[in-house]
Amino acid sequence: MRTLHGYIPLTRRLLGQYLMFALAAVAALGAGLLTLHFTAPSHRHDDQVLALLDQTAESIAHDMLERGGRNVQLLVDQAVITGELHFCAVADESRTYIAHSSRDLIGKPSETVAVAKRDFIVERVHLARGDSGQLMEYSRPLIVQGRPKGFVHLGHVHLPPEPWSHALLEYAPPAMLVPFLFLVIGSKVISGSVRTNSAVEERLAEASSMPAEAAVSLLPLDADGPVADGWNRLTQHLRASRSDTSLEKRLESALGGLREKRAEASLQAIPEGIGLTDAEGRIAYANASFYALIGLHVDDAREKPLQELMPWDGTPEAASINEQFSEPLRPVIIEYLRGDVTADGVLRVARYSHETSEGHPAGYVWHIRDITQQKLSEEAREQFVYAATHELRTPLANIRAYAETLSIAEFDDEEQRKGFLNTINTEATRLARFVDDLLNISQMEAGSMTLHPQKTEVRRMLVEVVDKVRPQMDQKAITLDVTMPAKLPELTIDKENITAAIVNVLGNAAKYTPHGGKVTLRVECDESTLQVHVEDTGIGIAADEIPKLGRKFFRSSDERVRDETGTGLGLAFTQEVVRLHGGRLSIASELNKGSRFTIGLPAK
Amino acid sequence: MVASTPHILVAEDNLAMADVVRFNLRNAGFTVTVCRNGQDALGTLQQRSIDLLITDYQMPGLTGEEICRAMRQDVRLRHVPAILLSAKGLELDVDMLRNELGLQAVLFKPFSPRELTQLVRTTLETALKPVLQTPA
Repeated sequence: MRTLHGYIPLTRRLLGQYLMFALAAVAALGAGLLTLHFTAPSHRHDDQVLALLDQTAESIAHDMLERGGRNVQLLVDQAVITGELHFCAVADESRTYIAHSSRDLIGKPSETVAVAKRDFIVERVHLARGDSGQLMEYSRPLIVQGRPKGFVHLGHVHLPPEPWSHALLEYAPPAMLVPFLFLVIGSKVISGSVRTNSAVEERLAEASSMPAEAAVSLLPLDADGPVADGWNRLTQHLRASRSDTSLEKRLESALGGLREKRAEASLQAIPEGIGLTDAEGRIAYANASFYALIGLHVDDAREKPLQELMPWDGTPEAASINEQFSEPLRPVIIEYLRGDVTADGVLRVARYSHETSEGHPAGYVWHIRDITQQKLSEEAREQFVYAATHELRTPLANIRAYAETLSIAEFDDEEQRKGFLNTINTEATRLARFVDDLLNISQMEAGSMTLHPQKTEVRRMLVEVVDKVRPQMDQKAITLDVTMPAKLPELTIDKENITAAIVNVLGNAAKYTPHGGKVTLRVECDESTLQVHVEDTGIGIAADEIPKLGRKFFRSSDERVRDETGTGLGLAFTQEVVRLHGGRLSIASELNKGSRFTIGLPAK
Repeated sequence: MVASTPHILVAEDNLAMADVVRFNLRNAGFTVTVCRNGQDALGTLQQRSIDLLITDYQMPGLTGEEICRAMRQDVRLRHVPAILLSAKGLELDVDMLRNELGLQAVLFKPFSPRELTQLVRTTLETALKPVLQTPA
């Protein structure tokens, strides 16, 4: 489950707000109380004392006017009682007390320093301060019928305000205890009443934070009440409607991702190029082989339409190829030759469109395959068929021509007639040998070529070989020079196949040596190896083609070789036969000078 | 002077085939010269008066096709009729060869020597008629 950043559950949120406001209220209340506590009493005392001062002064003035001041002392005593004063006194203009709540001070000079100036009250702080309090003195002039008659003085003790910490310690606990109690009780009540709502809200918040495709947790609530019941009914309903598809969907989702990854991996792994382009030919997707086959870097491919990135772009063939791709909806398959010959590379490029409902191409699927090997193989087989046909037709043509001639012509010369019959025989043998070659090749193809070793006199075998090839040499007036030791061992070899192998090599030497040239058969033998060298003064073989000579159907690109008939199988056969004997065919050649083929066989 | 018997050049590298063709044509009363490769054949055509060419297609040096092309470009040889023999099969475009090279016929091996002799006879009759009618 994802963490819900910034989410505070409903209960805690409510409690937090509740506590915050409650504390603020309590603080404000406390501050108000403290302010009142410190300021209200002094104001009250001032006002009361001043009112009493005025009232007393007026009463005294009245008494002086009406009764000659007989009751002044009485009024002073009365004021002290009424106002709970420290003292009250009246002094005449000469500042001598004419009345005083402390009677012993009457007739004595005024002790007070409070002086009324221009009707204003002057207060004086008594020197004596301490636990007994602060003595505040108030005085005002005594005016009778507009004339000053003296002063009225009041003294009142203010109890000193207690230090604030004292006050707090004294008042705060009882003052705060009750609000705190209420707060605690309030929190309990609130959290209890919103617990269910909070749980519901919490789950909804979780759901909102999950990815759209993820299954929302729909656990029921373990609580009572209408909200919990409603939630539980809702989740039950949702679970019921989802339960049948939930598993399937989850599997689908999981497998879908897997399938996509597998498909992508498969596409990347195959050697064939697969690409998708939009209708304009811009690449939307292509696998690695695709880029490799058209010789393109991924980054370059984004710039241009695919048609302009193809290897034929800018070549003379481009116009005719692009013409084929101009039909938007038609599947197009072309084969593109990269150079002048098949070996330079052949690409098969196919394009298939997928249509929109309006019949326009929505995009294209491209399939590119390197068919060079396939083409080379096809060409080789085609060449083989042509060559084989030629090889078959030539002896057949001779047999037919000689046979027909024998049947229709009159022969005066019996020798000539026999010669004709011999020719038929020779050509039939040639035909049979070719058929044998074909069989050998088919065995080689199937990998089932088996040897039939027999004790063979090597010298006699070689003499037979020379007899076989000599007519071919004579046809071109080629000198065949044979050098071999007088004694050669008897080896256990497949005589027929080894004979055919050496005949092949000598036959090639005759074929590719010009009229009047020379071919040498040189045989060497020591204790371990029999070596048969065939050297000619022929056209030679290009160095790069020497390693390819043993391949089936391979024929040199030299025109002088193309002029000759051949299947491209002779040397493949020879090499295979020698290999099966545990020997080796080695070739050395120089173009236009000649070649040397050496068949090396173990002499055991 | 018109030759008493038509002179036929046979260009064929296969000795046995050349021999049997020569044997049959001589038996039919023609003068026959055999060449074993393309260059010799073209040289013989240019040096001697040849009435008809029978050439193998595939030969060392020049192919039968190349000999025919060379002949068609030579004013003196342009009208010499030619018959092509070939051991090749489908890979030859016979129509092209006949139209472009003005070949009398293309015979595929194996062929009947009797048919070849007959074809030579017919071809020469058609080709030499105007010559024979021309006063010497």
